[in-house]
Amino acid sequence: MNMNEFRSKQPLREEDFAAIRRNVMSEIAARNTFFPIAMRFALAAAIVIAIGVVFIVKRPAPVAIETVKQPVVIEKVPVAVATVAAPPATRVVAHHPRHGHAAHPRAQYASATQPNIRLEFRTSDPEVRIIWIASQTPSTTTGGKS
Amino acid sequence: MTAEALLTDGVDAAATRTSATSPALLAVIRAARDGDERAFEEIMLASERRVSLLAWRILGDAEEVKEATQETFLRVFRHLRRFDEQLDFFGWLFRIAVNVCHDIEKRRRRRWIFAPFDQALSVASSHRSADDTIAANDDAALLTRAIDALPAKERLAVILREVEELSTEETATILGIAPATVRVQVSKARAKLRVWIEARRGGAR
Repeated sequence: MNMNEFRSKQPLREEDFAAIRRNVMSEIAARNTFFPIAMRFALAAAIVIAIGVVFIVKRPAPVAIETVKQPVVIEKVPVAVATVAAPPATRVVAHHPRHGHAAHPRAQYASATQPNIRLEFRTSDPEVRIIWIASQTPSTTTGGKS
Repeated sequence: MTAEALLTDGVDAAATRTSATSPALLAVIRAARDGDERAFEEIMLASERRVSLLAWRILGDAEEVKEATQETFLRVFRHLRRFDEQLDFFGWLFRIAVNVCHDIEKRRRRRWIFAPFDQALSVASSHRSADDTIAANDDAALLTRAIDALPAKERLAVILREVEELSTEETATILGIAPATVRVQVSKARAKLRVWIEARRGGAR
């Protein structure tokens, strides 16, 4: 079978070709008339941009205003440090439990970390002083028991 | 230079299939590129029949062929500056024409999908009406129907390779695929055509 027979007859007539050519040429003409207008707009836009750029470039440079920065002085306020007088050396009597029980862990902790408070009352007589040494351990309520 | 001169001198089908664009046609193309509308019309006169025949073979509908031919030349005008003078102008033109036909076919398929069933049937049958006038057992009509029944890719390959008698390389360039793929598609298409035609002939007896 000869493949050239496959739809070998030209489907369009001369009038169809003429119409196609006319349409194509009119489209091209429309394009050609549109593009000069577009080109004019583009040219105008380019000129405006160029003028803008020249104006920006030629503009006098802004006067530099020198501003002297005052050094910021940060005054350090001396921090009041409360100094607690070290408690005077007190004779600590080691408590030896009679029954050989281990000390209560809370008591151990209290004695190890909490300093004792020492109050000293001076009387009119310089030879007489009342000294009260108290432990800071939280008071353990005995629930009425003394 | 007239279109006839271009056809006989440079646009001779056999010549353009094997070599690059002829100097005479190249001169007209250059003039058209520079905005010479008359030169572009010369190009149209020299190539419109081949373009419309190719579109006819792909689309099979006279109205769509008109549309395809017009759109092809508009695209040619738009992209003429991109045409590589080292290449065959007709190969380049055919590639544009095939793409345009492909777009029209896609649009037609969409129309079938969204059209009511009876309308779709009329659209589907309209582009075969010319062939229906030929007797069903006529070889040309049978071949036409067989090629129309092929899948799109195989149909394009067989039209360009077997009907337009382009080389495998030219067909591959136009379709944007590898030459080996063209060979495979043409081979498959031939086998399918043979089966299709044998079946119809067998049924007719």
